[in-house]
Formats: sequence, structure tokens, C-alpha cells
Amino acid sequence: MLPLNLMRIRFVGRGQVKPRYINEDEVEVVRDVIHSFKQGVGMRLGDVIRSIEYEGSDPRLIGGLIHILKSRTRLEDVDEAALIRMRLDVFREAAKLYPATRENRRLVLSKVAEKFGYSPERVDADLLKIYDDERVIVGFNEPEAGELIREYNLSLAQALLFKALDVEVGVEMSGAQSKALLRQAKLMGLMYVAESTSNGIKLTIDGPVSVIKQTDRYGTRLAKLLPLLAGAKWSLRARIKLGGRVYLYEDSSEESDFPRPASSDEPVFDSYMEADFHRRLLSICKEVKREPEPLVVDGRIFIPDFKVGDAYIELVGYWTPQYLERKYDKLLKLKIPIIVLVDEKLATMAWRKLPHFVVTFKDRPRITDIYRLIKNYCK
Amino acid sequence: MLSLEWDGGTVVIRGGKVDLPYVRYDDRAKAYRTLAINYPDLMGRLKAMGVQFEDHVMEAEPCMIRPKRDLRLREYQRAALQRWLVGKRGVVVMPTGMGKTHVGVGAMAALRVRTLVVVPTIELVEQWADRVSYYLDTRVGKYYGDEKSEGCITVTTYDSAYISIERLGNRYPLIVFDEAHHLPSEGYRQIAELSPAPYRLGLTATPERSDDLHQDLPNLIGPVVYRISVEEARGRYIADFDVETVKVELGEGEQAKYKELMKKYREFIRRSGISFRKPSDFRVLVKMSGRSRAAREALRAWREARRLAMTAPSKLDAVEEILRRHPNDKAIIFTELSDLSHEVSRRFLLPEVTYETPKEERESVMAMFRRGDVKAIVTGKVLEEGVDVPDVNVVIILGGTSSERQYVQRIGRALRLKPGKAKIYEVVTTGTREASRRHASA
Repeated sequence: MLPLNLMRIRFVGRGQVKPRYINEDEVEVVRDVIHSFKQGVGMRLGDVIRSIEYEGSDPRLIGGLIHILKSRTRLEDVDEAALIRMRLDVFREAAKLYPATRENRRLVLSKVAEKFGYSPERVDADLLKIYDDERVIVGFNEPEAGELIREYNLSLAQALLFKALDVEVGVEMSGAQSKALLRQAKLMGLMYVAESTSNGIKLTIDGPVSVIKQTDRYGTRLAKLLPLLAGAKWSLRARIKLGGRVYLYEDSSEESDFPRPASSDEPVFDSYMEADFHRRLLSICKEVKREPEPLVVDGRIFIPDFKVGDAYIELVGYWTPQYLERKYDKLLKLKIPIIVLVDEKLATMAWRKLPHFVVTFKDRPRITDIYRLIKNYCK
Repeated sequence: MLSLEWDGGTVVIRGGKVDLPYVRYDDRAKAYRTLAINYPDLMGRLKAMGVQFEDHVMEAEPCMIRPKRDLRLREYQRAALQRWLVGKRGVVVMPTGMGKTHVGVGAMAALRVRTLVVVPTIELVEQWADRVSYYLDTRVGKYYGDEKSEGCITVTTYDSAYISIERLGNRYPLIVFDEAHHLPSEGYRQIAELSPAPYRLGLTATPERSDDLHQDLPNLIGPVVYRISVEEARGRYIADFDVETVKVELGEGEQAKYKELMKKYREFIRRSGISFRKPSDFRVLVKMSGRSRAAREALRAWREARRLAMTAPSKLDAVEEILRRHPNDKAIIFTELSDLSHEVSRRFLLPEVTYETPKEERESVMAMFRRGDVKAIVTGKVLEEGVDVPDVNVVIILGGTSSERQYVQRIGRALRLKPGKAKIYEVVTTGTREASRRHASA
């Protein structure tokens, strides 16, 4: 994510704002900056940065690219603790000959150099290596221009979201992905309301204070959610507060080019029971979806465990009482019929009376118990 | 029955309708909600109306806070504390160097409840933590950056508190704002708004703000309960000071170079017909630089000229001259430019204390400076406010200051001194456009 002072935006008609993504004219600058870093291996980081800054292009673009490329740069190793010891010694000796005029300065450096067994020149040169800018670049993981542009664009959109009051995202994504998104949002103390739309769900995300007072305090957190949309089809509408005015920022996966997601991950199961049941389902049905697209129940997201053809299946095993209560609540309000498999130890009358196909099991769920219900969907 | 719960800087009210102007219905939670700052008032009203309610807002983990040493408040400090104790809410205005921290510790010793202290800089976190541990027998936590430990008394920065108040808020019935003039800004005010603390103390030398937001301090903390001005205090409680402006000129070569660069820049501006009426006009040039080579050259010339003026070697000579004049005094050299700061540090082998300085080094350096093992330090913004180095009496400001508040605060450094006069030097480069730095922020 870019610091705010490197944000590039453009205002478009009727109170709208957009990130000023890298345009075709600027691709040349991107290549130049990458090139400078590549050539800069063996030079001090500060010198490389300064040479790029003096090149004279838009300082925010340059600053942003440098910011990202720094993380791809390896600097010479410095034993910081030893260096600090030496610096403190220099300061102490210099205080004895205070103020350090040019002549005194030489004396101080010689004295410390002798103590540490270096040359005075080495002490002088090492003194500032406490700062990154003074260290030499020893390695650079060079990106393709396109890759850097995508990284930059994402960082730029995130910087704009730092100032967001709230975000509305329309997404078409898997249950696993939306689960990851909402888990992250919850972890960060955000709140959401979900609606189902013709092609997916719409999430309005902000925080506890938002209902009382306009605030951008959740902006940084909202920005952190953006990379979690990678690979999905999404559209976004955020209200952005800049200089006392509220602007609208709209974007979508069509319009912007962000980094591609890392390779798709294997399904992760909450429990052994689920993994086992999944295997059994697969052995008889071809089309089994693990954590299918999310359903909306009363403003909350509900992601059933499995989908076989058009039939949803939910497994209810042992969990905390609060968890079970919430799950029961959601199932009660769910308008779409679903097959609910409940551990008989939990299956009180309330569970049996849910307006769904409720099947109880002992120890572990068996396919035979539900075969009758899914056979028409299972091809 | 009504129940009140803490939720991320707000109070959620369940189990019934509450009709108060600051309470909103929240459809997401299917409950009523209000900012935590309203908690004391809300509680008061519910009690007055005889409404039964369960209160789960404050986390009532007990804490031991006992006096360790006698605070020995000075007469005006005692007066300030007593005024504050009447309503346990309000701001104490006192010039830098008169021991505002003591008033704060006095409040903690009197109330003996969990306290959150909010300060502007890391230096001040350390300083408050030291001071509290010295006078009070209790667990003291420091909460900022990577160091996040909570105690019965926790010291944090404004930046950290802005983020963490929604998690920490309900553990601290007393909140102390040091340098409280920072609080009313749009972001930081949320620290006060999202805290349910019924007891609030603000400390500052200069509550007034150019944006008039200090008018909100009574709502965020409480009214000004005590005030003593620099004029009242000078000579009586704090030392007098002198300001001297030192003008330096660029060397001949630098002068030529500077003129050449500025000429290049101005010529382009004239040719391209850009008019500079307001700072944002500078953006036009920046935008043009994306396409035009000439604009890029002009921008580059401007940047180099600016750097030349700011880091002029003759400034270093001026610093040497001043330091020679005060071989036995303690000095702080301020500059906002990290290049210049590195340069001064390197040239005179003086420690630098900036946000870039590693924590271990900063701590050692500050201790050495207090003991007198080093006589001068170079710093940027980090030390600007209220750092306690009792016998600093020379302040050198390189490159002018950006606002009056900073100026006063910087001068404030020099006010804590032994008998004798403090001396403030301001070093500026003449014959350059250093004075009009507004372009830099465009």
C-alpha cells in the first residue's frame, strides 16, 4: 500500500474520483525506473533513488514506483548492534573534543578506528550505514513492467480507499473466497450487510462508528480487503472523503488491472468429518461443490458446506453453543430448502422442526442416509 | 432490561428504545448505538430516570496503583490539580517547562484508576513512562509501534491511540491528553470520541489552533480549568530567552549554480505560460512533465535548486560558528530535512534523533544527552514537543519553521534551563527562495 502523500487521483464529472492509474505514456517511465534499480545494484540505495527522483517525471508516480521496488531490493548486510556500539563511541569521543571542527573530527575518527581495528575512512563511511539510504544494493528481484504496473495500480486504489467512509462491493465469487473476505473483515472489527443480486451478492462494509458519524477510520482496513477480491468478478462503489467533501469512487474488475491471484488453493476443511463426507460424495456424484457461492440470510452471508447439482447440504457437528445457535438461526431464516445433517446428540426437537430436510446421524454422516434426497441431483 | 455493551468505540444498547439525541438505531446490529464519549452522560440520565440497566461497558479488571514517592507539587501545580479535581474533566494550560507531567501524575495518584496517557511522540512515551514509574507503584505499559504492552497505566502516542482506542478504550476510566492542542484535529479527536472515560485531563502550553478547532476541546475533554501564561511565569518559574537570526549566503559557486537552475526553471514557466497564483498551480507543471521533456527538465532544475538552498554548506559553517560560541552549553539542532540532518550529524559527529533512528540507539543517546556525555543532538520533528532535557540552553533551528506552534514548542525546549539565558538561533539562507516553500507541498 502506498503512503497517502504518493496518492494520484483524478476528479471526473459529478463528484467522482478515480485513482490515476499508469497510462500508456507512462509505461516508459516505469521501464526507466526498473532499469535504474537494475543498474543500481552495487550503488547506495539513496543515490539510486535520488538519480531517479531528479529524472523529473511526476514525483508521485516516481515515489510510488520506488516505494514498491524497495521491497524487491536486497541491501548489504549490516550488523546493526555493532554499528550502534561504534556510533555511540564516536559520539562520546566527539563530545570530549566538542565541537568537532575538521581537525578534531579526524582525531575522533582515528581514535575510534584504533579501538575497533578499522581504518578511520572505514569508520567514517560506516557511520551513516544505520540508514537504509546509505547502504549498497546487493540484489534486485526485477519485475516485468506489466507486473509492476499491476502492483502499483492496486496500491494506488488502496491508497484512495484509505479515505473511504464505506465500501459497497458486488461480487461473484466462490464460498471459500467470500468466507476468507468476511473472516478478514470481522477480524479487523468491520461490519457488513449482504444482499443478493441477480449475479452474486452485494456487501456493504463499514464499521461500528459509521452509523453515528462519517469517518474514514476504517479506510485502511477496507483497503486491505481489496487484494482479497483478486480473481473474482467484482465491482466497487466507495464514498471517499477528501478535503471535507465526499466523492464517489467506482471501479471494477473490468476497468482495473490488479495482480493476478496466487494459484488456486486446495479446499480447506473445517473438520475431518467434512473432508471425509466430501470424499464419499465425490465417489457417487460428479458435480460436488465444496463451499458453493454464498446465500444471503437476513443481511448475513450463509455458505452451505456442499452443493450437489442444485441441492445444498449442510453438516452440523459438535461446535460451541454460540456457533450452533447462530447456525440454527440462519437455517431457520433461510428461504431456500437445504439438506441438514445433524449429529443426533444435538438433534433436539427444535432442530428436527427446521423447515428443511433434516436427517440425523450417529457418529458420522452416511451417504445412504441422504441418497434418496440427492439422487435426482447427483449425476 | 436494558443492557449496555462496549463495541469498538461505541456503546450498544439492547433490550429497549432509548430516546436521546446522540443515540441512533443501528439496523446492522438490531440495537441502539452511541459514541463511547456519551457513555458517562447516558449512564447519568438512565440512573436519574430510575431505569434499570446492566452495564457491561467498562472492563473492571482491578489494578493496583499506589504512591511510591512524594510528588512535591509546586504551588501552581497544586492549584491546577485542585481545580481539575472539582469536575475531573478539563484542560490545564501551562507553558512548557513548568512540569505539566507532574499535574498528570498528580491526577493519577488522586484517582487511582486505570489510565491511558496519550502523547505526540515516542520520546514522550518513554518520558511519561519513566516519570509515572518513579512516582507510582504500579504496572506501566507502553503502547506504540511494535511495542504493545498494557499496564494499569498505559502510555501511547496519538497515532497509535487513533487506531487502538476501539480496542483499549473501555479499560481506562481516566484518559490524559498531553499536548492536548493536537486532539481536536479530524482524526485524533476520535480518540476522545471513542473513549468512554468519565475522567479526562488535557495538558498544553498552547491550546489555540489556527483552524479554531480548539473550540471543541470542552466537549472532547472539558473546559479550561487552570491557565498560567508565559508572561506570568517568565522570570518567576521559567527562564528568559533570546532569539537571534543568523543569515547565511550561498558560496560563490553555489550561488551561480542556484541562479542557473532557477533561471532554467523560470524560463520554462514563462514560455509555457503557466501562472502561479495558488500552490495547486504547481500541479500543472507536474502533469506536463509526464509528456514534455522540457517540463521534466524544469522540474528537475527546481528540485535541485531547492536542495541546494536547503542543504547549503554555508549552513554547516554557521552551525560550527554557533557551537564554538557555546562550548559548555547543551544544544539541540532542529532541521526538518533529513539530508541536512544527516549532513550535520556526519560533519560534527553528533547523534541524530529522528524517526529513522533505531530504538536502542535513540534510548542510549537520550540518556547520554541527559547525563552530558554528548553535548548536542540533531533532530527533526521527533523531539519537537516537551522532551525533558533540563539544561538545554542553546537551540539552533536550520531552515526556518513551518508554523508558529512549532516555533513556540521548539523554543520551549530551551525554556527548561538552569539560571542564565537561553539562546535560540535561527539559520536561514538569504538570496534564495527558501522562505516560500509552499511549492513543496503542492
